[in-house]
Amino acid sequence: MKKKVLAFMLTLVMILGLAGCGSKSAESTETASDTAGEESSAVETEKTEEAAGTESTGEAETLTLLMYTDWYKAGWEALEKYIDENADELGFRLEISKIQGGQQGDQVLQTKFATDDLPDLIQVYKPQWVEAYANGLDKLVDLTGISSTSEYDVNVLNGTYIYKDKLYAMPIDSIVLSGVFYNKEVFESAGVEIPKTWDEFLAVCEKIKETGITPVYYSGKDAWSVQPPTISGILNDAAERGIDTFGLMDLINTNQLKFSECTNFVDTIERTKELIDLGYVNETYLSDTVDSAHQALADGTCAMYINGTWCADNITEKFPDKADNIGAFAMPTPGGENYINMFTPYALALTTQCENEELGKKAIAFITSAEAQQIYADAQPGLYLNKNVNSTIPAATADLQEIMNAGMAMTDWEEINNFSYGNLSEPLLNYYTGTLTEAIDVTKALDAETERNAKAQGDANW
Amino acid sequence: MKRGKMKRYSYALAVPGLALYIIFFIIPAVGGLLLSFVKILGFDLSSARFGGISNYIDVFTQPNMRLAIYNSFVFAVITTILKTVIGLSLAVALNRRMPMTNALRTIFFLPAVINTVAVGLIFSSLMHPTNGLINTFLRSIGLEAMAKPWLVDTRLAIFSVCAIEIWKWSGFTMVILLSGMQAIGKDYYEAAEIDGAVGWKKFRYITFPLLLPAFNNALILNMIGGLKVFDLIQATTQGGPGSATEVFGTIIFKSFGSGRLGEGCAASVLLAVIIAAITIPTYKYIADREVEM
Repeated sequence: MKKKVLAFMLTLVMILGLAGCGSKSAESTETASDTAGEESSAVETEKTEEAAGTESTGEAETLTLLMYTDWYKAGWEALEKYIDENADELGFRLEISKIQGGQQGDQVLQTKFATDDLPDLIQVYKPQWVEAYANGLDKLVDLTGISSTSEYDVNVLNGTYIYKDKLYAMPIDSIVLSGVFYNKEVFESAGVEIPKTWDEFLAVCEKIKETGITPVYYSGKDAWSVQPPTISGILNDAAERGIDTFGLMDLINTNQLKFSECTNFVDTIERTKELIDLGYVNETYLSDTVDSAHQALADGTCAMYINGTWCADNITEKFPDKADNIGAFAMPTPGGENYINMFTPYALALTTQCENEELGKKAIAFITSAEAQQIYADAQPGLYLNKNVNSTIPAATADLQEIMNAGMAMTDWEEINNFSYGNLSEPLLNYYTGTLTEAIDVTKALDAETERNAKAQGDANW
Repeated sequence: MKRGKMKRYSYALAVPGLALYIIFFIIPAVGGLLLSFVKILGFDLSSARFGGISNYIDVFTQPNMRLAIYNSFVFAVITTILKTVIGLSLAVALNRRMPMTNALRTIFFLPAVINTVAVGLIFSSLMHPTNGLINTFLRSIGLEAMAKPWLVDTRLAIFSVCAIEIWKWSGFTMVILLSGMQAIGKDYYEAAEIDGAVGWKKFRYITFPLLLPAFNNALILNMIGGLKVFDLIQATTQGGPGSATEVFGTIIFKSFGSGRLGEGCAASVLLAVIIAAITIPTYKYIADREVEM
């Protein structure tokens, strides 16, 4: 009898335990799948409680903000500090979460959009990216009418931040221009000038190689960084057709043009391999990183590195005494029509998960205002879209700005496509290492992935 | 206790475990199988439509699929054989009373408890072609020719990752086999010694046949682990350089990552079928021989 009672009690405890877990899980599920408002409310109550322990007033509401770790640099650091110190006056403070960037970070964001697990504010590449890669444009709030827009040229906002007639986001951070960054001392000691055409570029490489210095540095361990040398090629394809990258991507998005039909792009890819074949690139490029590239360029163990103005920012931060020794020029083409790729700043958006939409808009208006952007720019010099912001930029960035002002820059095409083309660095590295034999195979891989994703979305053009 | 009551009693005890199994295994597995026949974009259920076997066709027409299958099998075969052989050797060597036996067992088992991402980072650094400790050591002892770009040579990279996997998991295999060996009664060995058996003969006719159940488990675990490898590849090469170390697991990851949920599910189902098709007959084959041996 005792055994029966014991067994019964044990069974009861197990069932109750399970039911307890179940109800806890049901509660959490309910919270997770509840309306956006209730979720935010719960989160904010928790944060207010947390803040109450540390802040004296507790009047300012906390807004959550999500971004990639790489994007939280000196600018955000300074601005967050300012907002925190003036939270009561501003009416909000930020709780910034950072996740790893790159392909893995993109996948986390895609999942967050898919499952409505979004913060109040989110920093993304572009609204187009949110639509093409995360299918989440409807989860961004239309910001039309916020006060800071008057400080921006509407033509600059159009097409990128104003998309499909709605202001889905405001610019945050600076413009990034891509080009060839070079060490001036190395050029001087090799007795070479800035090359204008591809043949001149090869001649420069040969002369530098003769001095025992690596002419061009590739950083294939950080796979994304093999893309910048090739992406300017497609700008010539746009120019050849008398359109810009928006027009070119329209053709690709509607299946009227394939990447493999962009002959300048294919030729550029081929030329970047030619540099490896001719021995102008660091032998261990597959193991070398972006950080090692910056180091090599700064200390002159390599002469050139093809990347974005992140490079100049990084060198200015890590090796301030070397910053003026770095210059930049456009990636040379055989015909000498050298365009540079322009990455418009990242986008700061308000999500539909934000319970207090008005406060969210107010926060974005402040963050993108001249006052806040000046704080950002003082800590992180660069080219800012806010017309009232002044910033001292690195010499290399200034070189590329000159090219942009001369009308030889186009908006980066990678972030304005409707359908993901996958990962350019993967077929590129396959081509460099011999798995793919022709440059056109790289572009065909992009076409295949674009088609696969367009079909998955049920697009009628495919 | 009456038979009927006994039955109810045992069913009642099984309910919690069964419920958890159904909720966390059966339902997701069936859901995954159903989704593999649906064309769906991300988690947007409104975009879902019946796609027949098109997701399966898409999996096989992936540009890197052939390479991924080849790499998965190369990885599974090499690591299974070497992890089992090394694990067995270690188990035999450490199944005796020696000074430091426990310390050595711990040392050999230790890699299994280190986080895979940490292992990936450590070996990426060790295997760097110019600054890596491995090549620096080889050069310092005059073996320059053996210094290789371990993780970035397209032909070598998959074998380098195999070596890391073997280093990490051989100790785990050793523990499984060691526990099997310690369950073998001393009487068998004493009887064998009386019959004049020594060394190899004792291993061949007593240890190995009685170890076969544990050996079978270790072998199957290693085969499954090898075929569904993902974490180590992601931590060391991310499937690269290019797609040189792409495996089935990374293909599935990329399908899900691109929002092609149906295709990802189809690839997962295929992987499960392949694993089952290989491991179940292998397990049965060895299990049948446990009695014979």
